[in-house]
Amino acid sequence: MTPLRSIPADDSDPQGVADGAVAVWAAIDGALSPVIGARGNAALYKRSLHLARVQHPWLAAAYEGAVQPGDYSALRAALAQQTAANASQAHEALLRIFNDLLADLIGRSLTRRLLQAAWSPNSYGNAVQDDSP
Amino acid sequence: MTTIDKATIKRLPTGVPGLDEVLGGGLPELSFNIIAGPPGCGKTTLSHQMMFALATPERPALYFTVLGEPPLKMLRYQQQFEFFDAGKVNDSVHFVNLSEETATGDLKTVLARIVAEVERYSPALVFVDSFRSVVLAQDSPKSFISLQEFVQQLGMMMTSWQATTFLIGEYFTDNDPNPVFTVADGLVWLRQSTQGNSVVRKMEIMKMRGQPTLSGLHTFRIDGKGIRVFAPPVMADAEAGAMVRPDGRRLRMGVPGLDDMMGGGLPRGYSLLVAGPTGAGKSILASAFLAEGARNGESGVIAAFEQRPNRSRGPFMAELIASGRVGVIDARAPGLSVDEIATLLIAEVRRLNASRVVIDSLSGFELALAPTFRDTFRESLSRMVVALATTGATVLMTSELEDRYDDLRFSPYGTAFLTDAIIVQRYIEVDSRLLRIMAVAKVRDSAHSNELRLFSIDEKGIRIGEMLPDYEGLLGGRPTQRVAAPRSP
Repeated sequence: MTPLRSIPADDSDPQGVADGAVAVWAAIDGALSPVIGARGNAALYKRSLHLARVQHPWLAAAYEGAVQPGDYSALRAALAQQTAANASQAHEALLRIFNDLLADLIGRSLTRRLLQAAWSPNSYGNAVQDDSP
Repeated sequence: MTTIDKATIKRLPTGVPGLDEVLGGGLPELSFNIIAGPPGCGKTTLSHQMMFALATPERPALYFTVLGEPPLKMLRYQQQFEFFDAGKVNDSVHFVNLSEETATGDLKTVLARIVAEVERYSPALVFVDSFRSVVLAQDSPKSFISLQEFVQQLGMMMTSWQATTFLIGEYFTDNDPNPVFTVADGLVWLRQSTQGNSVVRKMEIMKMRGQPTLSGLHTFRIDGKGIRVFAPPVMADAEAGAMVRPDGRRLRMGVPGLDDMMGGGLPRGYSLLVAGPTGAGKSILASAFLAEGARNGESGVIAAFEQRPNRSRGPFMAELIASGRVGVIDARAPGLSVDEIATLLIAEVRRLNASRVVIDSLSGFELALAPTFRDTFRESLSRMVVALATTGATVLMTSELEDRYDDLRFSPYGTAFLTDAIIVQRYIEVDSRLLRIMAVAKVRDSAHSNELRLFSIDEKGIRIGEMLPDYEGLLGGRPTQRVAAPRSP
């Protein structure tokens, strides 16, 4: 349940960034899968990876490795191989794409509502989001 | 035995306009219901509308989605309706997807997950959408319990968990008496009836334990606000004597001279039929009737099926409509039923406290109806006129009269008998001119003129003129001048 902002962008440890990112994805999975189904969530995740790898081609490995719903090990491995800054940037982009994708489908308001549960119970309203177009 | 010892069944208001009436007073709390019907008939919409109306943080709702429609799509489309309140999601409304459990093919697994979620949220309302997938799962050899056991256990559990439950299913057919129906307390059937190119949505409450539901098929409509059910207009009041009795007061018609012809105006609470050929001035008479009401501070309601009510009726009418003193029933929707128009009319009469109602015209009304309702137009119309009478409003209906002069009839529907008063208009040929005549054919329980009077229409409206005493055969359309009889000395 670690929000993205707690991952220091200048962390010299890419593994730490990768672990933090996977924790975020697990939290999103935990919030969305009960509502839209594990497969529904996995499909959105995979589509986001596909869109994000245009900017970050090395995410291809994560894309290919995303087979089982809820399994983020391929993403962890891909992120850990990058510099911490690179990994952080790609993770942020991936999150933004995922958020936009979901908002396109069910609207910003409901997206906010559903993802709220992904962030720590004490940080309502502070969910990692990018509402800019 | 005292009545205190009886269980009290609380009835929940569903939040779906018209549904509570059809259900016989609302939804029985803790009931176990099935909403069935073919794909696209509005089951999911009905469920969501009730759920968002009923769910509160104290009485939350659980909506289980089972395979079938992907939940993302469901959320995408349902939020287009006004009733969808995203603020309630994850607060008083919880969506739970059961596709993983259903995929196991074991109903016991599905049931276990439902139990776990019910224990977690303690919902007052539970929806399982769609039940078809559950039914398909029962065919799997992996299932350890049968569908019937599943439904029985679910029903029992939900009632003891004090939840009002809905199973939404689409596989059910009329002629397949599914064992599930026996377990259910309520069975709501949604259909789409097709005739020609017209499709009409209909709802039937096939079963609702302990409730006097309104039997029959009730039309409903889905728009941006969600579902609206058109319950048949209530007639019981009229029979019980609650109908507003004419009190001897009379309404002025707004046409100089016409009140005298009617014996002093139209008695309040009466229904009047104005029958005449096209262009004779029926709509102008109807507008004059509403305008006269407005001049006396009364409000009116018009259901116009032929002209654009606020355009073709002159600037004064347009102003009355714009200022809200005359309410307009939108009669342009396809697939109309008489019950729908009746519901809208009565609601508008109540809203405006209107004393005058115009239906212009019955011929247009019949054309606007979905074909499936045309066969029963007369019966439904009679019901509507009686129901309108219970509001105390005075009703003016126009009816197109065929240009036939070999028989004298007032309306092609035999509707003349429904009305308390009749005015008939006709064209006649005199001296190579097409002239109009008007007569009052009937005013129930009242003296009225029997004169056939010429009338004309100018920018100020209808002007009633003289009789044509020197002519006879006026109703035949081609009157002949009477040969002057030599005066007796």
